[in-house]
Amino acid sequence: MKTLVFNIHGIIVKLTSDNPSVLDEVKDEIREFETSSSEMPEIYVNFISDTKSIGHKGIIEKPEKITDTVYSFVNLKKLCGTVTTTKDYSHNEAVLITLSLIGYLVRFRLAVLKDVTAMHSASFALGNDGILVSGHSGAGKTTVSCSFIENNFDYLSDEETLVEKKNGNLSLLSFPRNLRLGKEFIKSVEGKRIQKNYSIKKHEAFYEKGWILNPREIRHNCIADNRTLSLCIILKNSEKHKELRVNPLKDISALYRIISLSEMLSSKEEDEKVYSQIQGNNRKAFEIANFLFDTVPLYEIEYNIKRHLSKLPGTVKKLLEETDGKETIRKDTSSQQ
Amino acid sequence: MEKKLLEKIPLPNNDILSRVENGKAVIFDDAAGEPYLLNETGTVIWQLCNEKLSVKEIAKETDKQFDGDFATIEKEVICFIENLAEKKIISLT
Repeated sequence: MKTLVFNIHGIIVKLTSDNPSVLDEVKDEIREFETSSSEMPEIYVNFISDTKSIGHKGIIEKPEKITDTVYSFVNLKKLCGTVTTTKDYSHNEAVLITLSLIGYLVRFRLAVLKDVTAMHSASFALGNDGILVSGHSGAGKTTVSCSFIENNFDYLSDEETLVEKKNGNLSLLSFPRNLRLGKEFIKSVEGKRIQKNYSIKKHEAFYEKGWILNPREIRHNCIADNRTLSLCIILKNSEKHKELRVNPLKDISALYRIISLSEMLSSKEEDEKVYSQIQGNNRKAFEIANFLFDTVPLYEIEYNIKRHLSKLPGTVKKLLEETDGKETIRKDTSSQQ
Repeated sequence: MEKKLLEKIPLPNNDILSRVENGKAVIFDDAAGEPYLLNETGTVIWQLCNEKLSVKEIAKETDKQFDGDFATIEKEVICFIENLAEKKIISLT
């Protein structure tokens, strides 16, 4: 069994595995967090490639079937989780699920300790400014990541962004994983260009084929540390959009959209302490979403990814310039319970 | 059944947070981690769920604010409040 230790925003995570190649790939994706610290871990994650799975204290619990060959179980009370597999498991799925499990436990713990929530979004930095780029699946978050990095935006996160409220500001906490590009993207003009210019690796997980691109391939020093959140964008991609449009979002329906993008848990947990923690975390997420809505410039960008992708970095830079230094005081908050 | 419901008083549950702005509301159930967006009508009804008014009284107040047949408005109010109760956003006492 091999072990790695990570310090992810102050949370010590110990990852143990009987499979060195899975461990190495996980390490490669979150290398910035690897540590030799001897501090006691708060979170334990195991990847066991035989079916005799053992949890944190040698207790086998009912695993959840993630795919036909990969299972996981999580114990939020003990802050531990295990990924186990049957024979002939998908290596890519195992890496992805292990990374997801680490992220899941870390964000749960961070939200208990601090005013932190996670949002389904990518995030970037330009100078001192942090930019949150949200949108539902298919909006193009990963596709635009390549474009942003090429245009000198630094990279903070892809699938999920940790947002912390502290000292009257919101900060984006980095979690820079490899970019996972879909099969459809690779077939596109932009995808072919990426394939030609950078070294990408085949990837298959959850019945979908695609490619992995290490953002460092695009620009070696593109990984950013944490940043103050200066701008929030919601992408809306459609072939029907003939022009790129930037719409300021001021209506309370935008608050609903921000909350919907936040990762929440349902407190079905029977344990009282965990129930209370989940509820507290969800409440913090609501408060952070409200604070973001009230204080951060918020825009929707309607675009057609095939036609307008190259314009996006310039559009975002312009928005940053226009909103720089301007106080954003949201509309009348007539009542808040 | 409907008669009994009309006499009941809706009470927002403790786990519910909300924000009202320009006639719309976002309601958030922190136990379920679920947000809801209410339109103008829903927001009026939600704001009338103030632990003092019965469903019947809420329907009357709502009728004052919107044009339309009272019977239709009452039905909509009942349906909406039943929905809120089903989602455990309110309790009916």
